[in-house]
Amino acid sequence: MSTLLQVLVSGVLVGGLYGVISSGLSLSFGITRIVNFAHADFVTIGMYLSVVAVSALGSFGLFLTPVFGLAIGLLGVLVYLLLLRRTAVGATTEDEAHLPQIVITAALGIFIQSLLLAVFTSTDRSVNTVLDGAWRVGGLSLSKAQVVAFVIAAVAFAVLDLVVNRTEFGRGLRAVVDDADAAAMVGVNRRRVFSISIGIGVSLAGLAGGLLATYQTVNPTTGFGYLALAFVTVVLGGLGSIRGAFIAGMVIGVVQQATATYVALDLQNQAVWIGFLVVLLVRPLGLFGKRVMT
Amino acid sequence: MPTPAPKRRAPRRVPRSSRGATHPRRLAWLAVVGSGALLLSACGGVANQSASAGANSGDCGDEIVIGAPYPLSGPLAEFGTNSLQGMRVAADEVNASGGIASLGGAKLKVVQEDTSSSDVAQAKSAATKSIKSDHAVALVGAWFSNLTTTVSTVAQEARVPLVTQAWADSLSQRKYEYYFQPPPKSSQIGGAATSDVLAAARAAGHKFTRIAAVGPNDTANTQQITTAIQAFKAAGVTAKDPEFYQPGIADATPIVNRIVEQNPDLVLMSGPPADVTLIIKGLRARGLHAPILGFGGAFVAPSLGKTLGDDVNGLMAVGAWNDDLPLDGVAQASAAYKKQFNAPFMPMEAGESWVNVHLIAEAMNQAKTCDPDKIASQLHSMHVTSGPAAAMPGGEVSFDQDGTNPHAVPVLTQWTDGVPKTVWPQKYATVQLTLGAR
Repeated sequence: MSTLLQVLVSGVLVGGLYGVISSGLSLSFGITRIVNFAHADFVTIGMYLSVVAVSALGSFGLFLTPVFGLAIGLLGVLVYLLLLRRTAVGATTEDEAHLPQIVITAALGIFIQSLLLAVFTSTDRSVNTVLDGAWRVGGLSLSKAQVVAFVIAAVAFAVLDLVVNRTEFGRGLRAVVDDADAAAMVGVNRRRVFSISIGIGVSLAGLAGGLLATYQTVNPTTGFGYLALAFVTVVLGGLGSIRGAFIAGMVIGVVQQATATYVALDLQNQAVWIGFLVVLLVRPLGLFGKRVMT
Repeated sequence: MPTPAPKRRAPRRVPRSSRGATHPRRLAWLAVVGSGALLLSACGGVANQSASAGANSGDCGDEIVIGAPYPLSGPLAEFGTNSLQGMRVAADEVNASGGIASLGGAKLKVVQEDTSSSDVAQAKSAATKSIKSDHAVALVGAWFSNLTTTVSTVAQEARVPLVTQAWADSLSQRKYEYYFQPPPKSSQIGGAATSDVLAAARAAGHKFTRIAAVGPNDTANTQQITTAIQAFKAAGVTAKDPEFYQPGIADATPIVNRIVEQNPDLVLMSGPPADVTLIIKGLRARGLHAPILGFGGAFVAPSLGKTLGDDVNGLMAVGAWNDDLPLDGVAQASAAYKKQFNAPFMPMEAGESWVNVHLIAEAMNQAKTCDPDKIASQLHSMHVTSGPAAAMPGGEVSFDQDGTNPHAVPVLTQWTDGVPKTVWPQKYATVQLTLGAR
């Protein structure tokens, strides 16, 4: 029983970070329809910034993690304005814009990895902070770093959810998702909405990276490992549904932990893929996706 | 019997184009390109003949190139770079003492080529470039067994000796006559894990009762861990089946769960540095402070000391070399390495490649040649018992028909105050094994 509880708790803690990475991707894709293949590389940037900060300032460096998230978000806005804006605006159809977007974001991902390789080399790095170790709660062992990372990730997600669903700006975002042309006619600045949504999405990836660095090693390709997982999570949660992505992230975390603990260690990712295919067969729009009437 | 080097094949006849008659202008271009290619190949032929003639006549010039095909990019770059640095220390020592005396004081030059960490095609190109373009008379490389398989095949075909620090049994089983392996084989290392640890533990008044084991699910690691577990079981220690995982883990919690459930008093482990770091941190966070015995270069890598911090102390590893060995030249080489590369210690792979360069230099000096074929013959016939060329654990180096060194013995190290220290065999130990809680 205690093992089962440990599996569930660990799965939720780990999956919370998957959820934040994926909800950022889901938000930016849902609004801009840009498939960002460099999304996970912004996770890596966040991890390295965290490593640098902790190396310089010790555990106090962790307080800079939200600042790094915002800075990476600004970088995301720049990427949109300089590289992606024209592909989205100039294309006559959505499909026409996808090819250059995929090529540009994939190339950007490779560029980020190469840059990090040149600066930090391929050696794995990690940090030692006050968050090392675990709290014992009953028979459970809770990694301090994972608990703190989950709490911060959950707060970040709650703020995002609040902004999207309860503010005037969020209404504008949702209006663009529903009908971009109609939203433009009532005064919503589509270009601004696009750049901000990319910025928020990338910012969440950077924040998640900064938090991940407290309990995971990092090398220039670490973030790339999360790319497939993020896309699976986004589709599983329902394309464009940020709540769905967050919940799906935790579901995937639990599936991984349960498979690795009760079936076989080396089958944990295979179980995710099998579960993904089963869900798509039963619910093609994902767990929380809604059919749009046209 | 050593496997003879394959004979060169006759050039293949180029099939005639099936696309019909060739346009006269295209034909002219083909003629120009073909002539150019012939000219270039003729130049290469002349150059090769010249180098070969020089080597045979004993005139090796002022500089002799030793090729270093190593993984210098990708996840294994740390090990490739360390190995290369070890070679440079050895070359500097040889050159500072006047070069190869019997060859008129010719100096050694180490020329690196990047094999990448996983691309065997690039490994083949790197080894070929070392031999054909850099004109290396011998190779030292390529650390990782998969890459070494490719590099050794290229070396065998080109009749150039490869002195390696790779361990996999499969490498020496091919009985290549241009393959030389001073460190022990994988199977020796795996066997030593049991005997050395049990002996060292007995000497420290400790007895193991339950062990758990975990490692990546690739063939080499699976074999090594399984062999060690079987040996421990034969010695009366209780053990469940090993846990194998897909390398490149993002979260170690399930692995940690499985090991903690077994409540072991010794954990056997292998894997890449990143995975090992996560698992060890996870085990310590869960309050499991049982000693850990690691296999492979990752467990004595300087980066492991950095990423694990204090958790690295107490970690044991079975390996092939350590920089505190009381053997000829080791202390000086270690001091030079630490100073030159600002490193906390000279890692195992650097020490192995340092010995390998000295072996090649010794062979050239004894045979008075820089001809690759004759260097290989000399390596097969010589028996070194002193000096840096003999500074492998065991204290002697000679080579059997399969290219392995019958005198090589593994060493057991334990991280103490942030650096690996030798704890077994007793004659090499610089600290005593500690198995209590840390």
